[in-house]
Amino acid sequence: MGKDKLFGLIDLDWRFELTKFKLIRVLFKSRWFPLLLILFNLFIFVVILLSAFLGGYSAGNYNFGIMLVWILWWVLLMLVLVPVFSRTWCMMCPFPIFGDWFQRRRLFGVTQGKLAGLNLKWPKFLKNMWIMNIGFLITTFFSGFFTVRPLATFILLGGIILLAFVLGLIFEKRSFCLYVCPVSGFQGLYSQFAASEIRRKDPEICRKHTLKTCYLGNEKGYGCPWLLLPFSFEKNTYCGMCLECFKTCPHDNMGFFLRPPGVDILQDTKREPRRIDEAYKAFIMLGIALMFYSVFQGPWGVLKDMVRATTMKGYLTYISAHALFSLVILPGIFLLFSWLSRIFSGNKDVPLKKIFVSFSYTLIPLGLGVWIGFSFGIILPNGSYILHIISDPFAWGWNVLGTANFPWTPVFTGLLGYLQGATLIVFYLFSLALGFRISKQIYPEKSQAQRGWIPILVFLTLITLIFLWLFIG
Amino acid sequence: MKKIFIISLIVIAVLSFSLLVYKGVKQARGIPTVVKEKKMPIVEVPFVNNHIDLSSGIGRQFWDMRPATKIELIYQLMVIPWPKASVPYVKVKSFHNKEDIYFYLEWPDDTQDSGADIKNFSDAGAVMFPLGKKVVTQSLMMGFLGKANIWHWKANQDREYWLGKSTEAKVYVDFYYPFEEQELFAVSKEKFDSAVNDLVAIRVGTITRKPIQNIKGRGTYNKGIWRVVFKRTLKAEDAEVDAEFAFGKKLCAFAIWNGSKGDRGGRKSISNWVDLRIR
Repeated sequence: MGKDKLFGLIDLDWRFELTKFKLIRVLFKSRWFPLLLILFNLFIFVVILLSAFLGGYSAGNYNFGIMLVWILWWVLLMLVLVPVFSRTWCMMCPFPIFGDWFQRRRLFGVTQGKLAGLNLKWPKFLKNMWIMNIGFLITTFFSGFFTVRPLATFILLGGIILLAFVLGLIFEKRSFCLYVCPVSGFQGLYSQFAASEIRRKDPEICRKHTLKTCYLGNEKGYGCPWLLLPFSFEKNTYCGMCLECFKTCPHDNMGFFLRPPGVDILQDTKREPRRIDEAYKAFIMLGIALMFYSVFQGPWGVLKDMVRATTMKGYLTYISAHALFSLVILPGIFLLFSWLSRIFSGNKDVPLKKIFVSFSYTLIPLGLGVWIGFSFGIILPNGSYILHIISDPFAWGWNVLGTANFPWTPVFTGLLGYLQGATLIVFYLFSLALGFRISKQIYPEKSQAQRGWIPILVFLTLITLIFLWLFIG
Repeated sequence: MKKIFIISLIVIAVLSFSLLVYKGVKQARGIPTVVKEKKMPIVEVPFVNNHIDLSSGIGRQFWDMRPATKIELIYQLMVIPWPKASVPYVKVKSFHNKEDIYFYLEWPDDTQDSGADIKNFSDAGAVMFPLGKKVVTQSLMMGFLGKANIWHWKANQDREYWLGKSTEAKVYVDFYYPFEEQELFAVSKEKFDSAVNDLVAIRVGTITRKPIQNIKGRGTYNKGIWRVVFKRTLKAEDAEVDAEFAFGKKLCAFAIWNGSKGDRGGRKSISNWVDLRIR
């Protein structure tokens, strides 16, 4: 039997280990890495919080906090970090560092024994993405303020840091990152598509290594702060790339690999099954993308007024419609197409829930493509503001880098729609390629899979056409 | 003990952040600044049994014995064009003799600008009285929130009225039409009955000379000081357009133009509201 190749070109089992290069391996095993990245980002976020706090009434485009978070950081996250390097943001994120420091009782090095804090177990019924799903959706209700009111950004980021610290005092390890952080949820979902992964290299070595130091920790590092089993996990979704397993593995059996995009989407094992909370994450992210594009980059002023809460009635209408669309209408339509899939397949033995949940993973590439398109719409028109704010971060009239007077210069905005459209089509093709493979996993016979795939293909095509219309008009 | 410590830590962290948010919300529309409200200057208008005949001068010896109120002036910045320099203060004196009310204004000015030309502007001074019973004092702009009566003394007008020296020969058509006297129906040339214009305004850009001019006035310039006296009957002729001076408190404001600095029209130095105490 031949190898399964994506688009007939890329072997899905292909891997290229980056940690085979000594420099990268040494870096990953050093305790300074990623600590230095975290400290650098901590400094940046201190400036962000200060500028957002002191920014008062300043316009969003001339505020360091707003521009760095919602223009630079967000775009880097969606354009590069998540699609290529998986959850590398989590690797360098400074939000949970205060909780880590408290638990470990030290800024650097390894504390042996029990960590400080109450170390409670996270409640079992909340060990899923639902808090992140709802939390992120609620956060988007205030998106009209985050991008124009510096203080709103301060409250959001400060609130996240505070929550990370408080939960770090109460619950074990990185429970906050795993189950609460609103940024973590969508990174986890879309990192399934990422073109890189951290995995154990040789399962046999892990099997023979009975003292699972990657989970328990040793003098070189901590047991997985994300409460994963590094010796066996198969999906990027919950790996925060903290690199502790590289440090604790005595056999150098952890590796950082390049891989074909999207292979995690095809993973559906007993230990890491496809789940309805992750499915809903995909719907919510797609719903938010549609709403965000319509509001922030669309031509409808009435929507902008609603999001900015010009009137309370308009604002409540917006958040109600937004929540209803993401939580009920979009999943409801998808459920209808899933039901049609079962009808078309002719196999009534497959549970509808399985069809619904499994096919919802086809929205991961498409959703990521939409968000990348949206991110182009953020950075190309607004990127030039960054030159201004890095020279004058507190709007005190500084000109640190000599770019404070750089004028607003939109870049390639004439091609923006086509760039967005082309990106969308590429990711649509990934959705189709992976989606049909999912169909073959759902239905036992190929003919059933082919027929059952048709309604989902129609759904994905319709969604793509809607976004193409929005992007190109 | 450990639980208490962690709970205390959580409470401190949450309270600290809440305090920051509270401060942030308070300052979200700019950092509040505390501006100490200045006391409104008071100009006493007592009864003095005196009469000044302006045709023989401003009565300098009498005024020199009267107490003055020094009133700070600031740039007029409410409408453009803004002035290029400010006159720092005006000293004000006043009295009434039950028939007439007098105001004496004195301010420093390095140059005497009593002419008017294309690029030369006349020095001037004015006093404004809000009209009506419900006076809204938020704005000093002439008649911005209500009707105002303005007494506007101009140095060039003073020279023309008292000394008979006209500036017409030097000026151009857009200021004074040089052939006015030869026209059959003169339309732009005002014949002055006084060195002071008696004006009314009800909002921006509405300043108008009253049909009946009630104010007399005269100014003198000596060693860098302008001294100007305004005179009017204590009783208003028409309460609709003339300031009334009942006993008690009344608001007024002052404006000074420095012609050599380009002041004219809205380019002027102005005072805040001033309290008149008429006794």
